[in-house]
Amino acid sequence: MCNVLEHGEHKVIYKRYASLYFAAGIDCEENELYVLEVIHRYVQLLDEFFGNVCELDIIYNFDKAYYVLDELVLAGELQEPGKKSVIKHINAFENACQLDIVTRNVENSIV
Amino acid sequence: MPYYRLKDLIKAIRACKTAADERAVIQKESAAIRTSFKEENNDARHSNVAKLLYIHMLGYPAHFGQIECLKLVASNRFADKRLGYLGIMLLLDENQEVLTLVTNSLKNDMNHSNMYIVGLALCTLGNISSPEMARDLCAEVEKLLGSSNTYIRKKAALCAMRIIRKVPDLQENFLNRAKNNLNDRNHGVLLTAITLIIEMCYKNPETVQTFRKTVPLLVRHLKTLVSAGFSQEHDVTGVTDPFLQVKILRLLRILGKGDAEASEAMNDILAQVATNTESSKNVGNSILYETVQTIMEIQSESGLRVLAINILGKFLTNRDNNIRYVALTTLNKTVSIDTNAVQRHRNIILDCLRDGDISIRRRALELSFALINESNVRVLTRELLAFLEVADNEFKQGMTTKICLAADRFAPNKRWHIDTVLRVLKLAGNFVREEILSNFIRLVSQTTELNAYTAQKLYASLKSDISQESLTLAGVWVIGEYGDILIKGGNFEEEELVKEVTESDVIDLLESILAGPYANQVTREYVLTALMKLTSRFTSISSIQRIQAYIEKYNTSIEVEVQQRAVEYSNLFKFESIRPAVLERMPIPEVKEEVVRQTEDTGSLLDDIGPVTATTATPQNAKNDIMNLFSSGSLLDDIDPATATTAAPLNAKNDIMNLFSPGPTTPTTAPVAPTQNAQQTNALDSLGLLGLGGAGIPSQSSTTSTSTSTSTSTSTDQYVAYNKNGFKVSLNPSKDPNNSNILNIEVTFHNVGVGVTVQNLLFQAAVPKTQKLQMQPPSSTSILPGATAQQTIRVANPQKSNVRLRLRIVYSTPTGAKVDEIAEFNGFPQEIW
Repeated sequence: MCNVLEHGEHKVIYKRYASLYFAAGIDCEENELYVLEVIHRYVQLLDEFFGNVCELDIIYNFDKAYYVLDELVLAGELQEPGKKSVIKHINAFENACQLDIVTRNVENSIV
Repeated sequence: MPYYRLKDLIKAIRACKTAADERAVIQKESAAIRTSFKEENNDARHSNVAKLLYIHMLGYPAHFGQIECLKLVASNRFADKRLGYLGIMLLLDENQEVLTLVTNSLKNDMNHSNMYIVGLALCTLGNISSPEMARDLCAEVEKLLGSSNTYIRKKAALCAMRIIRKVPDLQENFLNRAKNNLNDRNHGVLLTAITLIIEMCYKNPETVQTFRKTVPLLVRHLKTLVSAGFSQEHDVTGVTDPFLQVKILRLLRILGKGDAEASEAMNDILAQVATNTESSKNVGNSILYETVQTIMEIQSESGLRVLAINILGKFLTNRDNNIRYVALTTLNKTVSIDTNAVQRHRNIILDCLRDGDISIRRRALELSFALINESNVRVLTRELLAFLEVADNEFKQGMTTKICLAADRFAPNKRWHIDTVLRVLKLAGNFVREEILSNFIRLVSQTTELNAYTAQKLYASLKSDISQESLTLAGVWVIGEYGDILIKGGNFEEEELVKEVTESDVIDLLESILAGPYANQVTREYVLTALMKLTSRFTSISSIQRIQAYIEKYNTSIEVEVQQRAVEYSNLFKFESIRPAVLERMPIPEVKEEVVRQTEDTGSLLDDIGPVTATTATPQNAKNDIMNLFSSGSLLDDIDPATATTAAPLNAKNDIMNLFSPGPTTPTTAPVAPTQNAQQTNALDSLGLLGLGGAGIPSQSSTTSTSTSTSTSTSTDQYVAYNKNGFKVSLNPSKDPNNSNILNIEVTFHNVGVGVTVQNLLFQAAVPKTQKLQMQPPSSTSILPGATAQQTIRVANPQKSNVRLRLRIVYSTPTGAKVDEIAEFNGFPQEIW
């Protein structure tokens, strides 16, 4: 089956991974195969980030899934073509957040 | 009791067995969250908003959390900010007023010391900014675009792209920085810079000029990518950074379009990419797809084009559905340029018509229509009719129109044409447009030698099936008109269509249609008229009496139109002497004038859809006249329909309109909006006779009447049509942006030197026979000295003939003077019409 569904002036590109469908909406000018690659890249990132991602991972950590997406795509366009770079930044921010929480807790306890 | 952690809430919701359960849990939790928000609990806010976002994802209302997200953003904690911005992006969109409250936080965070926080702000702005926010924060984004941090530069570039999308005027601010980023080594920065430039070029064609100089640089980048060895960071199953390659190719496409020099510079690299890219995986194919599109749009050399068409051919035979879909889409775009190459693949395309996937079927259908020409029309139409049988209803209307158009254009002979349209009517009669039906009826009347054949075929199909409305209408009309030929029966070559049809058979059929469940008002009207015509075609008294009785039954019909016809026809029986004359055979309608739309691809079949609606005047005439012939005017007059042409009633009306009366007529409608470039002229031809050509028409260059551009068609050129006794009439023509056949003329009356007020102004105009005129009321019929008044008139000029106006100006003054003058104006330059 073709991975493209036409709907009026827009198209929906979807790809199936196990029991999940990843769908992206695009306009008629966009390269459909390119979008399929972007979807695949996103799934790879999720896999890398969660370590062997499964559906439950995404359900219980939907906010993290969003954060990964925000590192990959902005305003509908791809930000960073390199996989390692994206992972590096996501992890760095994650750590920064944790560190921030810890330091504040320490500060609060001191006070 | 609320669930304190997000995880617990999700677990609880997933444990629900029914939808009602889920609703209950969520309602309880929503209430708890709302209460907690009211208590202004800072620590729990993070958790609450997270839960709220989950609830929102499931589809339940969450608007009360919007302000809480704002508060999270204002907090100092990183985690809070991150969740707050996520909440804003999910719960708000650019149409909500609450969004403006975020602007301040965004501004602060864009100046934050931590680059990830800056990134968050840029992300939010890039995803949901409104035009106002874009304007407010443009300066910040500009600054960040020049930051030394690549992470920030990347995001700032895409954010700038969004800003330009919302407010195209702000483009100039980003031009230089974007150009600089093109020299960056970091692929992310390069990618986003190219994306930004692509958007700039889309929004403002002038920018394309500026960036054409970067073509060599882009070619170099692409070359590095293609010929580079394995690169750990950027490799995707054997291809180095396909994302960047695709983007570079797209930008090259935009820059090379229409420019020979730029296209020349890219020829080599395009050839290299096209030949070296591996096409076994989707990655390679996406690059090849983009390359093919680029080659087709720029001014590439023929060898390159052949390469591209070959790639498309290979795509078409690929087993992967996506590849075939993509090939069909691209072929659609190129079929008008290079039809022969596409014809070679006709068989594959026809196979795709029967593919399992609906998207592929749709694309193949469009492509098939574009491929029809004289040589393959029979084969293709056969395939398309076979497809029509099994097609979904959404396709049917488009298909019937296009098949009939194709038949119209390329029919090898009349019989085939009639057969094809008949088949269409039988297969999808309920989805056939009115114009197609009228065209068919016209075709039948014009093909007198096949009248018997057509009548017999229609009779046969109606006997078997009266459910298709258009088929019924066409059949009833033909039977009514040619009933006598039908009765005579007789053989017809190659068909065993010899049916002994008797008069009562025909009447039975018509009665069954009338009584049947599919008859609607239009059908009833047609059948009554047909029955009436048959009274003069049939000879047996019993048939005529039967018809009379049947028609009288409808004298009391609830539908007014039907009742009127029935009563009038019944009345007609009293006038035996003229009844046969009234019901004589209808004259053959004129050949429809084909208005071919002026576009670049004149060969494309798809353009003809326009003119079908454009000539609404003529096809509708045929149909309306069938309806109107007996309902207009009195039947008691001695009308001889043989001399009255079908268009007579309407024509008479139009002629009256064309002489000095400002009555409205219906303008034809056709798509395409050309602009015009009229130069200043000074043609004073006020008193000359309507001369042809020459006098007063300047020979100007720069005619853009055939180009399609989207600028509005206004011009400030004034042509003086009349200038006497201090009263001046000037004309300001402009092409109608929606319709190239219509010329809007703004008439301005100047009271320059009359000295007193001009009163009771009456302005009338007449145009040549081939044009139609429509006048709006004037802005005022009194003009004070030194003042002006305006009036708009519209001239429909489908034959593109010289627009000449005969003007009549009538006014009076308080001093008692009356002016009644006639003037001619012939001075419009050719470009205008």
